[in-house]
Amino acid sequence: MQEILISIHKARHTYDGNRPYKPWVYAIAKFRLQDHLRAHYSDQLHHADDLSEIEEFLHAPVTESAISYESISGEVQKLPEKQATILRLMHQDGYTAKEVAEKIGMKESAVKVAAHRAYQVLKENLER
Amino acid sequence: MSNIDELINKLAQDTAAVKRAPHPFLLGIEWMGGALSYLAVSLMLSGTRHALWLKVHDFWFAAELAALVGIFISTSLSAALLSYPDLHQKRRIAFAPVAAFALFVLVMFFAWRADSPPAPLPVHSFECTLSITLLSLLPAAWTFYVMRKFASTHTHWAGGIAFLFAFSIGALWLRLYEQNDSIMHVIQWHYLPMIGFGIIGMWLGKKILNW
Repeated sequence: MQEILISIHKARHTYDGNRPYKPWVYAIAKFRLQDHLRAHYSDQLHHADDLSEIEEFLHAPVTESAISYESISGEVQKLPEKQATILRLMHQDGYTAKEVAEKIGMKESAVKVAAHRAYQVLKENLER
Repeated sequence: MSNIDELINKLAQDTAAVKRAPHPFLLGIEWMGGALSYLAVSLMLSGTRHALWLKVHDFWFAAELAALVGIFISTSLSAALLSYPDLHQKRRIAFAPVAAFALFVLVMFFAWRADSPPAPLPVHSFECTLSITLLSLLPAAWTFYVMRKFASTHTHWAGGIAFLFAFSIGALWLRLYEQNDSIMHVIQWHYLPMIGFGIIGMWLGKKILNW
């Protein structure tokens, strides 16, 4: 808006008082708006990331991980006896939390809490 | 522009010295007058073709010159109108060069058909384009310089038409100077390069006439 008003002021010598002023003002406003939009979109394009710049990141494997079955298994063995047993029963033998609770004589909620804590410890150890 | 108070003061001081722009037709006529003087001086220095007066009696040559003068007049008025933001609300006249060029193409087509048996091609070729370009440089620069004082909102068209106006002066000069009757040569080396010059003018207009 400020740019349009400045442009109108700068071009005031081209205004003929005998002619309607609206087409004159509109022409300048349209010109400045087009200018602004052109600069805006050109700026956006300028700041857009070039595909070639991020190509090396695109090549990075997204499905592969440094974490292997062996490393998880090793970390599980380092857990306290109760937590390791719960995880083994749930994830190796396929028991549900309720079945595990019945098997080792714990409450279902306690099994879930123990499993959750075991996941936290595993996560921290594997991410290290 | 960061200091708004400073800007307001500057704009307020400017109001005292506003010189109204002339009417675009007056501007166009001024350009035509200047261009005709330039053409007359150029012809005085270079001389005219042999027996020009007799050649003017050739209908198609006279028609070609008249059509070229039509381009000269229409581009001059159009360039003047395009210097104003709203084309001085005379949009139809601003597009007059389209009709002038259509008429010119028609005249050249009939002149080419009437050229039977065809006149021999001259030995030179691009030298004509070069001569027209060199002669047109000064009017083109002058027109651009004057146009920059106004506020065109159609900068590319204004630049293109200004270049065609300047080129028409060069084309008129060469047609009155060069001893050549070959229509094919004239089309190829005099008039077809006009298209290229118009495009260059459009590009320059965008660069130079922006305000």
